[in-house]
Amino acid sequence: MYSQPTTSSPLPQQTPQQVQQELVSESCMDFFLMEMVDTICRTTITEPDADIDAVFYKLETLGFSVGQRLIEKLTKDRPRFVDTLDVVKFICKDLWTIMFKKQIDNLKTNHRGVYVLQDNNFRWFMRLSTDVGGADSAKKATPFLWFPCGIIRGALANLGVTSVVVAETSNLPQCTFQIKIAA
Amino acid sequence: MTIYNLYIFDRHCQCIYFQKWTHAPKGSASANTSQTGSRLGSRLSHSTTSSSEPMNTTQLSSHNQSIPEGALLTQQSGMAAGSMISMEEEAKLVYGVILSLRNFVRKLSSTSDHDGFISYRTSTYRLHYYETPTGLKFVLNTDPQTEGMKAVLKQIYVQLYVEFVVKNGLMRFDDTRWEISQGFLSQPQANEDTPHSTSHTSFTPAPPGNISNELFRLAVDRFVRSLSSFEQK
Repeated sequence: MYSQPTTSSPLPQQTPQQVQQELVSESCMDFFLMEMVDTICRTTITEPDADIDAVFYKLETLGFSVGQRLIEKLTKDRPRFVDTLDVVKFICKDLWTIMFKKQIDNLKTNHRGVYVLQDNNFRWFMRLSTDVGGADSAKKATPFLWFPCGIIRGALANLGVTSVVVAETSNLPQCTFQIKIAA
Repeated sequence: MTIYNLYIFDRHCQCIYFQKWTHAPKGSASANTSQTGSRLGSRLSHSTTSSSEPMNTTQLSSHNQSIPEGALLTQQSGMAAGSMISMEEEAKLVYGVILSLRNFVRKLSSTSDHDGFISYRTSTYRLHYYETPTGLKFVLNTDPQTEGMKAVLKQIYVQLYVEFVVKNGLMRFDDTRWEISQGFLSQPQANEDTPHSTSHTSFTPAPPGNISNELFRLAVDRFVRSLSSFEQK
């Protein structure tokens, strides 16, 4: 059997020497995601009847599909989840580590289906800045949050939890995601 | 040994960044102040008349809200005292000087590599120059006794410009988008009231040429002040 658990092509007959981890350049990934948000914003406002909700919908749906597939790949070696809190904790720890190389800094819940995830140093915001600063930067940075919202919602959906995810930021690079589990 | 100011030009002959460090005269108790300015470089290409100084200063004052109270609203040039020319004129002059010197040195030098023009010195200041393969030109003015700053300029480019401008998702570079060339999107206007725009226009890109942002400005300021060549009088 193959010794490396994370391979790009998991064929059982591969010898350990042939198994290699294929990695993507981090800068390329960052640039691609930045351009994705910008392109969707730009092309959506030229459509008739389009407003900021259309952009939200597009980015969120993108993230939804990505989250679904990502979670399939990530949990294939894991035992079943005990309850919803376990699922959310998995998202805060493992999913966030894989996507952003760090964990969620703060998780709050009211034990009635509402979870608040707070990230004090959101990786995609580390270099975002404008000349005006403050509230204007936060407003311009909000579209970058909708894609991760979709990823969280997709991940939860594929693990059997229907939810609604919203995000907000008041001062970069801090941001909060709010998950509302459907009863 | 001190550092006076820093210019950054892009390959479209526009000044996209300017920062200067003023020093208190001897005997004064006030600390050093650092004045920064952001340039709407597109104005250099859009200005039809050369005598547009009054327009420039008012537009500048509407943009530089972060300049501390008491500082001049009009950006005083770093040139000889008594000559008050606008930032735009000064940037054009500086660009003309470095461009002609660079071409001149390139024609004279025997080697074909691009390391021709590095710096020149006069009795009052020394100008250091660094050009990247993408056409970005970094110009640093220091006092005449400073040693070569090419490594410093290269560091500014690699560690600060690439980090805080290139990787900044909100910074837009020259508009060479395919849609514009095909005529699908109208050219973005150089609108002065971008910070006060509605949420709909918050997605329109900023006028090309303006790369000034908080993180970059602070980082450059901190970096320059930490250099051994930068001393407070």
